[in-house]
Amino acid sequence: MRKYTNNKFMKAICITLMLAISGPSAFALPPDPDNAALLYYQAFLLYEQPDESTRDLLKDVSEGKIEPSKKIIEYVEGCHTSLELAMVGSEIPMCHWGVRFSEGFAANLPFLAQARFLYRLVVADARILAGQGAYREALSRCLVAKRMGQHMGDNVLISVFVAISIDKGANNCIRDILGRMPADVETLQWLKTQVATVPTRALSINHALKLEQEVALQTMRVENIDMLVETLTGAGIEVSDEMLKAVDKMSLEKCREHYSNHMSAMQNVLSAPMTYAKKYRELEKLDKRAKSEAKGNTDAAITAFLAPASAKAYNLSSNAHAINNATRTAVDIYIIKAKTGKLPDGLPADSPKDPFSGKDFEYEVTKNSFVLHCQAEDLEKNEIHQYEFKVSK
Amino acid sequence: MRPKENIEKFVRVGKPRVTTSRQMDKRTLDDSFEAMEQTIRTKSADHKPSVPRIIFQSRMIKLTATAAVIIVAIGLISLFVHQGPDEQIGYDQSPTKMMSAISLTMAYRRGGIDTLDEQCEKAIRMLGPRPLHLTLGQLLSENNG
Amino acid sequence: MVEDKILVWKFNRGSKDALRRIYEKYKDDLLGLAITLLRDRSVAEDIVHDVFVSFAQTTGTYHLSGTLKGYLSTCVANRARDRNRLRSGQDAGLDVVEVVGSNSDGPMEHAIGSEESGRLKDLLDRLPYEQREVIVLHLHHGIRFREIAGALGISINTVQSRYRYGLDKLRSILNSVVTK
Repeated sequence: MRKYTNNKFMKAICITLMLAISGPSAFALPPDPDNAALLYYQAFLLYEQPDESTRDLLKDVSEGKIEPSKKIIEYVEGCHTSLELAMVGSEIPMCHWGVRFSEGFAANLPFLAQARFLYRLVVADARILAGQGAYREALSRCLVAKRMGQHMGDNVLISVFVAISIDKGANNCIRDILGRMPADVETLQWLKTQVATVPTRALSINHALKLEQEVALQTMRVENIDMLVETLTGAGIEVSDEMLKAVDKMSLEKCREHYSNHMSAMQNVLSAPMTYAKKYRELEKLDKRAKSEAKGNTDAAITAFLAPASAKAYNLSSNAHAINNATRTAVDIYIIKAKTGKLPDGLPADSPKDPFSGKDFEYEVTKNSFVLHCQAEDLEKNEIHQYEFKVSK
Repeated sequence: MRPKENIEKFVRVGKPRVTTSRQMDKRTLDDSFEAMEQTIRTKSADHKPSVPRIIFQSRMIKLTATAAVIIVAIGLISLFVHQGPDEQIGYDQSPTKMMSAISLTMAYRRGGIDTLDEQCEKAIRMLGPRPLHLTLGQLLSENNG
Repeated sequence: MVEDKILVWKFNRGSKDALRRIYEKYKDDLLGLAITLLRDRSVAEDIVHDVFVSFAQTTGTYHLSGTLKGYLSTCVANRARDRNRLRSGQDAGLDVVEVVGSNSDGPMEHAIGSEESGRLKDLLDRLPYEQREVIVLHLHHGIRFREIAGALGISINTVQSRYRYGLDKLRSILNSVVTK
């Protein structure tokens, strides 16, 4: 009797399972987006528009200038849907913003404006969470910001600058959290692994220069003269009738050639195995040459206008790598401190290098902190950077 | 029988040459200019001016002038720079233009990430607030009149 | 082409001078087109006027895809067709058309040109409106079949058929004239 019942029961389960498996498959849900930009765009739409004072306060909180007030905490909590979308989006490897580069430099990049705000929201949330003692959650928000930065920067040069700024802000926030966080080996190990997985491609300018070159060459065509005009006026230049007379297919072709040669020379320097100082000086020479040639050579005029100040851009990128490497080195030091109870005497083996010198950071222990010094000068600012990391008792 | 090409040539050559009258030119241009002004007025009314916007615009004018001066110094592009006395350019830096790659790049060149942020925020503000609590019911009522 | 792009660009930024220059550049051609299609100068003038007023209203948003001449010509053609439908069945009174001559320069050529123009006008008048429209747009104004199709909202095959049938008909009319 019992056996019979069991068989019947099993049969019923099998039928139910079969129905369960076969039924919904016909109505399978479409997958979530595999393009992070789609989620970010939703995030941009779903946060509460702040008034001016809230916006300013949020900026100060995200930069660590002030502690989060009740007003800001409530505001950030109200934006939880956008924050969740940012978190999910940041985990997706692919991010296509749908920029219409066929419009040349007149192409709109509205996501940059919105992403700067979303980034502040994420970092402010990190600081609020840290203030509440939820350090791991707080650090995970910083990682969200870093990944978002990578998504922003996979584009033209201006987007790289935005990515660099976001990454710098996220690293500063990590540094502040590490400085106040009690020793927690597990969280630090987790952070070390996570930081290592965040790509740094968007902090380099090489890919952006290639894209900019393509966009510029497309713009410098007679059939796209309106795009060139749009680009010039975007920079505040009014186009006169004389331009019409001065520009023809031949003259634009020469401009294209000059620009192309200049950009290739720039990219050759960037990809060459040279020290920071050598690269910086070479790029500086190229930038100066472009400007001086434009004075006497009409073919070089558009190059001087469209080509970026490469030495400056490279310097900015080197700075971003330096802060990033310093943060990673600091995490290793914090791990040793958490394990042994004291700061190490020297840097851990295989620590990331200081990009200015190509050597290890110089490590110095002070009373309540440790400092990582670069070993070579930032040639634009003529100073040696150093990064201080507080140590909690 | 004429081949196709000959017929085509015959039609082409026979294109009438017509000239417009002065009265027509005046009427058409006057009415077109008025229509154009009306369109511009309607668009400007859509962009509610605000104090920050006016300040920003005046700053933009200064920066534009600065940019123009820089460009004048670099050769051929000086040919491109021209403010014709009789040419009134009704160019108004719209929020969408402010978010173009070139405009953002110029903002960055002027003052780094802070200036870029400032421009982004101005653009977003000019675009105006979004409805925060738009319910499905409101959407439907709008749709149903 | 380059000039048009810049004119349009300036026009979009509210330049009246650009609008004036666009008008000056194309007004005669457009009036010629409207007259050829409608055979009525005063109606043709109204159409060109209306096309420019409508065009002026697009300042700031006008996007040039294709050629400006093509765009304006097809605008005129579209309005002419609407007007033609309205007065279908009625024989419009023909105003005096100021046919100055062909594109030739010399006095002899001018005389021949005027004669050809006059003959052509008579011949074109004997074509159905749709065929006349396509032939004039393509051969007098250089508008491509694809652009005509897009503007008139018909397929490119239809445009080509109308063109072919129109030319065949012109040929047969001419042949019959020659035979007589």
